[in-house]
Amino acid sequence: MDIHRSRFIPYQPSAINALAFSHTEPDNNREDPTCLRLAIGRANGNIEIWNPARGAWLQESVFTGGKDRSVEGLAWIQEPDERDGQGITLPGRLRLFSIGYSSSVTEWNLATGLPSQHSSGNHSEIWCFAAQPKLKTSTKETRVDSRDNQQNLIAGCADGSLVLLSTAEGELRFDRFLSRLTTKRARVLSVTYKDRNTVLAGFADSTIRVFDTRNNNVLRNISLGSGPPGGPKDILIWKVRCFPNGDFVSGDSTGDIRIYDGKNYSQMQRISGHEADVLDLVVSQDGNMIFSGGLDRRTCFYSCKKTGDSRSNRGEKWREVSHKRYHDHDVKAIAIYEGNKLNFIVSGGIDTQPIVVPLREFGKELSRGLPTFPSNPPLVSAPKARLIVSWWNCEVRIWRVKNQQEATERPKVVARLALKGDENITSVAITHDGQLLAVATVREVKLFHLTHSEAHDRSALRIRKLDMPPTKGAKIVRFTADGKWLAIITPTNHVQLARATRSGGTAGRPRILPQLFPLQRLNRSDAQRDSLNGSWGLYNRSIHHAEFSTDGAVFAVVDLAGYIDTWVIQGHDDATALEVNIFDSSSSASAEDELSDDEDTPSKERITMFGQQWIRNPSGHLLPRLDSSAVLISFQPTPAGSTPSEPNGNPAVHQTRQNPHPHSHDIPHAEHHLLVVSAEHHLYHFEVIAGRLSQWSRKNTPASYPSQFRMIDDPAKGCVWDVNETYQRIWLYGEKWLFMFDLSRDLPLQGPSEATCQRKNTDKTSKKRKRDPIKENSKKTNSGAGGAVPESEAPVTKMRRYNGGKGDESAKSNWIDVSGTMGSKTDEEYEDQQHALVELRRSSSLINALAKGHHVSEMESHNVSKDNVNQKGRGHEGWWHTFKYRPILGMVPIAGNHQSLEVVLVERPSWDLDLPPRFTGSHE
Amino acid sequence: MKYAGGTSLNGTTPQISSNRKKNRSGKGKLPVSEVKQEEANRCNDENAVGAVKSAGTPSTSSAVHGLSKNKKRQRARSSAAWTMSAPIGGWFIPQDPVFPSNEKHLFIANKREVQIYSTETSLLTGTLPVGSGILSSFALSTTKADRIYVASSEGIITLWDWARKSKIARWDIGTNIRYITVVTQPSSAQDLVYCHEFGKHPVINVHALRTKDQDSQTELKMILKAKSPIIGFQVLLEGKLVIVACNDSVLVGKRTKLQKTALQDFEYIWREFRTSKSVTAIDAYVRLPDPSRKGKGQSQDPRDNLDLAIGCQDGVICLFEDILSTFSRLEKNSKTGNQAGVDLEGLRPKQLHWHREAVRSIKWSRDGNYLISGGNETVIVIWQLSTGKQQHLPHLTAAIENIVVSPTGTSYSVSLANNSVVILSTTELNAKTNVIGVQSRRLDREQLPRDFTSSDYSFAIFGQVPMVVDPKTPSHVLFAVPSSQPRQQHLGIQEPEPYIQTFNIATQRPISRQAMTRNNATDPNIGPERTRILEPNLKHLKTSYDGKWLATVDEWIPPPGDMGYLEEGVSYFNEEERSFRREIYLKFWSWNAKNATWALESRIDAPHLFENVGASARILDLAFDPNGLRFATVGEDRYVRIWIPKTRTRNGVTVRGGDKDSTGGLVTWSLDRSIEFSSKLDVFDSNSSSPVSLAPRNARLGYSSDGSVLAVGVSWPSHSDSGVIHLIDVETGRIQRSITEIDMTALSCLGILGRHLVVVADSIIVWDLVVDELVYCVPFDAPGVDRLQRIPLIRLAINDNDATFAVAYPQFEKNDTSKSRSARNYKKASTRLLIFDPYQSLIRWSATLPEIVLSLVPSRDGKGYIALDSSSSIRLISPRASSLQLITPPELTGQNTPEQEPKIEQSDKREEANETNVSIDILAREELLQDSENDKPVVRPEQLQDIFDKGPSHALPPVRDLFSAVVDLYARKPKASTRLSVA
Repeated sequence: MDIHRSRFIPYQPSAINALAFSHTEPDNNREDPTCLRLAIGRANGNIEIWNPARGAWLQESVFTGGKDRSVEGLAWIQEPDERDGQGITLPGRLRLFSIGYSSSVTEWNLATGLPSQHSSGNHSEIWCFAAQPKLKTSTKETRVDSRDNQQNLIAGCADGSLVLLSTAEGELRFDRFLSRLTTKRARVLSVTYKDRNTVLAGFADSTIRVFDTRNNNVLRNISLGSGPPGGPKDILIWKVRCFPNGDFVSGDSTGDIRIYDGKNYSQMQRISGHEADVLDLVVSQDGNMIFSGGLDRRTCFYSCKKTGDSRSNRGEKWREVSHKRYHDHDVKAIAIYEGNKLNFIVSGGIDTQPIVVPLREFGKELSRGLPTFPSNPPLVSAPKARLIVSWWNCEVRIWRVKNQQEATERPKVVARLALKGDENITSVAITHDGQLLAVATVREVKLFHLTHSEAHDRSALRIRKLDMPPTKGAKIVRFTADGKWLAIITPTNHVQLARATRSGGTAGRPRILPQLFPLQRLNRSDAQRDSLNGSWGLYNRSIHHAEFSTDGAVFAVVDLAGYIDTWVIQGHDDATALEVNIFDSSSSASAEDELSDDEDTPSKERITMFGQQWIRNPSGHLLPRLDSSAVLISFQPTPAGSTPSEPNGNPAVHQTRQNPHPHSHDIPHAEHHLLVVSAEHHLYHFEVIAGRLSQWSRKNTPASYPSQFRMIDDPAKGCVWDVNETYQRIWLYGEKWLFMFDLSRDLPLQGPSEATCQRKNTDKTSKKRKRDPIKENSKKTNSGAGGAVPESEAPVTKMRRYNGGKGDESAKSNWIDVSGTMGSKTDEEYEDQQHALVELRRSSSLINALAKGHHVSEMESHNVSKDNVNQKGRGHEGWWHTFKYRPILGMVPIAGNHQSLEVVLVERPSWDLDLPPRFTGSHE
Repeated sequence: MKYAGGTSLNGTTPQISSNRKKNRSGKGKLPVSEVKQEEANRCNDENAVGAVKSAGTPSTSSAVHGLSKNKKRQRARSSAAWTMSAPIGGWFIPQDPVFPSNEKHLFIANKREVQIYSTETSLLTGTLPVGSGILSSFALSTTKADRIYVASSEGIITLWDWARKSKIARWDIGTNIRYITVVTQPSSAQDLVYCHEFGKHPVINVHALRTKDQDSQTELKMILKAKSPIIGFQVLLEGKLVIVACNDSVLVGKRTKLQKTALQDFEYIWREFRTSKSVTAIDAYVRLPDPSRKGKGQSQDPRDNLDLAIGCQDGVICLFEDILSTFSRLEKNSKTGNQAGVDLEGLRPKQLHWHREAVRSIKWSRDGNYLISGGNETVIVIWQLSTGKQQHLPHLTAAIENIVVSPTGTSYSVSLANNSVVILSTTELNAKTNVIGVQSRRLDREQLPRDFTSSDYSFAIFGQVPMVVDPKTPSHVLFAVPSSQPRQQHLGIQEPEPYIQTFNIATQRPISRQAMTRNNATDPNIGPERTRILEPNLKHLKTSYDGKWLATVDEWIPPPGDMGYLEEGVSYFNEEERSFRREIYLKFWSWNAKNATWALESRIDAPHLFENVGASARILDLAFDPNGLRFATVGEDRYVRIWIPKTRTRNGVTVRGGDKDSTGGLVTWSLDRSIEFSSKLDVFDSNSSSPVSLAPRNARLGYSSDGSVLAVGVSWPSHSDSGVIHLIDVETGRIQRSITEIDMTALSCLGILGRHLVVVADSIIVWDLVVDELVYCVPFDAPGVDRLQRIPLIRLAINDNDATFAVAYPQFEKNDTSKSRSARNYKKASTRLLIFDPYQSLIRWSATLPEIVLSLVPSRDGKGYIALDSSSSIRLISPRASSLQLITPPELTGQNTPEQEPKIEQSDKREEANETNVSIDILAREELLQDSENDKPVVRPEQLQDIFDKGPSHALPPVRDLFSAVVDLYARKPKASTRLSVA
């Protein structure tokens, strides 16, 4: 495989402006909520929803924004729980709100990723907002009115006014002004609820004001005095946060944090941990920890002395423990979640990478950088035309990559597109020959015809817009390789196919048939009800991956719940058939909703296009639901020549009198292999037509994956197939890794001893930070941040105690390991079971082979090959990996199918990003 | 023929001796080439005997004769001729300075003595000399305020009454004591001395040292035997807590059985914890319980709230709060096997990170609210712990080594890496007291080549320290000093020396320090690549004869790391590119008496230049004219350049400085003439060889004492050419004579003493310029150094006043245990110092100094020499009793016995000039007395005129010089008598 390691794509990830967790702590100290989500608001208007479950940190969906729609703040609220008719408590719905540079608050529909409503009011721009804390339902008998239990919003405006917004009854509307400061007109920079009725607001005139929301009274003005000499007079209070006991803490533009008593609103302590403005800070629920981040790139950690006696010294019990620069640029936002297992803070800023820092395990676990780039690589290629396409915001760029031999110059931009309108692009698709380009936003899908322009510059492409049937926009568009079918996944998770034809139109221009072919997904009845999924919408069912098979005969989508839906094409392509043949014209657009569960009658409406129609895969229901969300689906290319040649002549069924709407019922015979990678790094290799797992997948369970692969904590982003007669290689990649698996051979089984050997080997070979074996074992039990801190970096490693003097016991006394090892037996047991299963499956296949009369030598060779594995290392093991490339934006094939595989691997290192100049520390 | 060192000399020396035998009575043995030390000493004595005898004092002669038999008393005699003073200066030991409780004094120790300074005046008020051995530590008694314990590395602890400067007691412990600290023994009024002793293992012992008048016994109790070297330890609460810092672990010892106070009951429970970073500094603080809650029960072992601050190698300060209770919690947990609930709050230290480099010293303030730390950044950081605020005191003159908070907390004592101690007030951070030692280059024992092969190790760190004696005040010596010399930072890199320090050797006090080049005192000293920015290095330093002008040469070359962008892979090219970027300045400074500083008058950029590549050529030597305002430089570009001052005029009017009340105008120095010397004597060769490639290996300048002749010795890197000495007529700038007869391949020093040219190469060669022949040649051997590597290590000083010259060369004592031949494992380095007379190949006096002499200059005010060595000590070497010398001053005898045959045979101006200033030699006079009584010197009037009409009256040399010149005229020895028969 030839890799073009390239950095020419100026993809610009967007700065993180806001972070918010849907829950700050588990309800009533139970398990971590399954609905825990992190919303990341970016400067380009995108909101990303991340699922931190089990430390996987999966980017589940991206709500695209648009130009000048920066997300400046995010807040979640949860509706009060409801009881349905059977007396079952239904969890309340989660609602997500955002603010931008405007006077309105936007609510987002989590299922569709579209804004659902905006608030409006006669006030100026909103600078900050906060959600009212939930009512603590300590006493159950007080059945409070749902309106009283509502979490309202409070917003601080640029003119110094505070606005209460009501979220009652699923709405979002202006309630009243809490205060109108007309005299100073100082901006409200931060606002928070001290309790349900008290609001603390930090202003730009070095004052914190305390309001009672019930009667609009100002309870207290807390002045921070004037700024340090030489600087501006006013201190900007960038953030106010409250401890559970009512004390509160502020971070301001002098770099200080100040801690106040909640009862008498007096300042208790002032700690200067930053060299420049503190932009955000969070406090832990137990009130013992403060984290702050600011302009000087630091994340500071403060802790509280627990012992009461030292408090007698002064009233000062807080101290800065340490600070660290996790970020390359300003830290703009921090969010905290403190659960039983998962507990971490997440910080983000202009350097665009979210960093997860352990909370309770601070100092014992490493921080972890989450992927900077979208989980769906913004990169597609037209291998036959050697074009690669990348997009960001409203812009698409197309490069042509020269051959390896002539690739002395860097790839040239051959086309640029900037979409009209201010919506960000959600998805782009291009055909293999590079002629058709589909660009989707949440408003519309646009189709372009790319031709070589012979006019002046040979290298430039000529772009013509093609007419599309009206769509409601799309979040995913996909072309088949031959460009005949275009799949459109709408934001409302409807699947539509459009048929493109090359003939017909003027001057040989392709044309899109005006009729869209709707596909229905299976209705899964077992969808659970939780705070995200309910009568208001099913977040879990939102599709986030879709793929055609390479011959264009099978189409598969997968949703967040892990359901796979597949469709196959029926009939044969017949240019002589009617373009569009609808033979149940009574249908309306709403027909899609009338789904029946009967599989044989997928729809009342039957459409064929050129004699073809899509039907649900007959065995599609056999495909199981995945254990976790899929992060990648991809069809294995059928080896060349194995595609069934079309019967000679015209296979289509022609219209006869008996059959006014003829269509073939042939469905593809050849097996199509679909590879699905889950967030847990399981590789599912399905035989789609048969509706079962492939032999490889059955024989290679996750327990037999190489430990290097299991150790990876970044989800997979994409893959490239390299298939020929001798091997079936798949090159999987995540943001920091590249793995090859050969699906034509089994992975070596690793006994426990072997596995440790391997670990040792990796420890020796890997130049990067050594990973302790503990980490792998306790991956599922850790706090959700990085692995354990290696012993060499911990400040204190071990200690012991002995008596000195003559009876010197120093030799006898044992060292106590301070860090303490945490092993989980359950994992090992599970692995052992898996090993047994795999061995059983493999041996059974061998026995079968023997039974069929194969030579005994094969068994021997099997053994021999196993030995080889041990001796020669990974080259023969059917897998290979490297961590050399990072961070990987994407990897796409660039040569045609029949040549040796040639890929472009695009890196976008952080130092290459075009960040604004740093505020402080420019001398470093 | 050539007079080279070594074997060729063996042929010539007997000739000299035979020649001399003829003239003398044949008494005594004459030195042969391989002069052993003992013999040299004896010869020396005999020489002295001879000198005394020739003076015609029979009484002393007989006494001397008797003495010469006794070897022991011979030595006494030899020291009678010349003496070496006790060393002046020297570095302070790295221990914290100590305040007595009243803070009126400050105790600082160097390796020989404890010095007591007054904090009011910064003056030395007394010393407590340790006597033998090296002082390693000292501590004040806690029971009696005027007692001080002083420990030496030989294991001797002495107790002093420092107020009366009297020794009270002395104990011999017999181990290598590294550090001591003293606490009061509980429930008694007596001291306990905690000693860190180093034998096989580092050990901490507690000694109860008792004198006879005390009732109890001297006792010893070992409390800790450590596995790894101990960096330091601290004893708190009268021995209840002992904190020991090792390199990678910290031990906290808590005394058990607190009720029992006998020494043998001192048992400690040690809690040791490993740190991942290496510890460089440590300080502990015990927070005593709140006195307001005293009623709760003070007697029942109050929990000691111990806070521990640890400075690490990477600049982080780790702060462990209340660490003892954390330990006990952890132990409880481990005992119960409850691993999960371990609360690591206490072992999660608070990290204070400002320092970029290792934290060298850290101290708690007295109230425990602040930490004071310092390191190589030359910044004191004061951490306010509750607010996290830092206060910085930047721009201290050098890296910080030790910080001490005074007992009352009103001042900090900070010892810096430039051998100075500053006392700062805590409130305003003003310097109240400033104690400065000799700051010149220090070479630690560790810097001796140890693990290096000969090719790797550079002896450049032993190169010469530029040093001069101020002619205005002969007790002032000026020498170049580095800005900072932190300990634990060595390995062969020579610190640049951008400053000069003026030190008064009479009062043993520093006078001033002045920067001579750009420096980093107020600039950032770390570049963007996190490498240190190096200052230019002062290479040469000379004053004019009147002391009003100072010429310096400084040199800067980019460090190899900054040349990375030009990396071509070939190290030779990299070095060449680097040398093209060398910056060399010749600066002329005038003495500003009002400010008592040197003021820069002229700066000459690239005084020597490789024209074809435009790169600065290094200046190999700088010399001043002993008679006129004239400096000469010789450079790699094969030019000798002579620089003279010119009064600046504008349109014919003298430009005067703004504040100058003096008569002279502004003066600029400029090039007078440059004299090129070709790389080869033969014309053919010079055509063939390319000029650039043949830069001289070394070149030395020597002015004759009348300033008329400038000798340039040049040695070439090629072995085929053994080098040459050109004699240049200063007036005409022509090379008058080129001496090629001397093998100068390893030329290290050169000078003119009277009529003799002294060359130190492979051997010490004295050449008579008048008769143009060899006087003698004495080989010497510097063990442990190669012939070429020793070139920069040899010092030569010429004293015109007593007509002697001194040669110092290093002696490296190899470690015989190392088997490999290539690895130089040196144990010891010392210097051999020889004092010669130009007329005789006898060694007048010799001595061995325990350190490497980095600079050797003649003293100005009279006879003798001043040596500066690698421990920054200054030693004066002077002839013992001036009365003894006065018996035979050359002037007096010369006048009494006028020469009879002053043959002025040659009209050569050079020789004439030499003759006028030739000093009289005793030996020559002996001859004269015997066989040339009739000779009368014929003094021509123009010769007298030469002496007196040299210039305006203010430019005349001192009367003494005039007088000796006149005497020389009349008391010249006849030429023929000293002519050696050269085969």
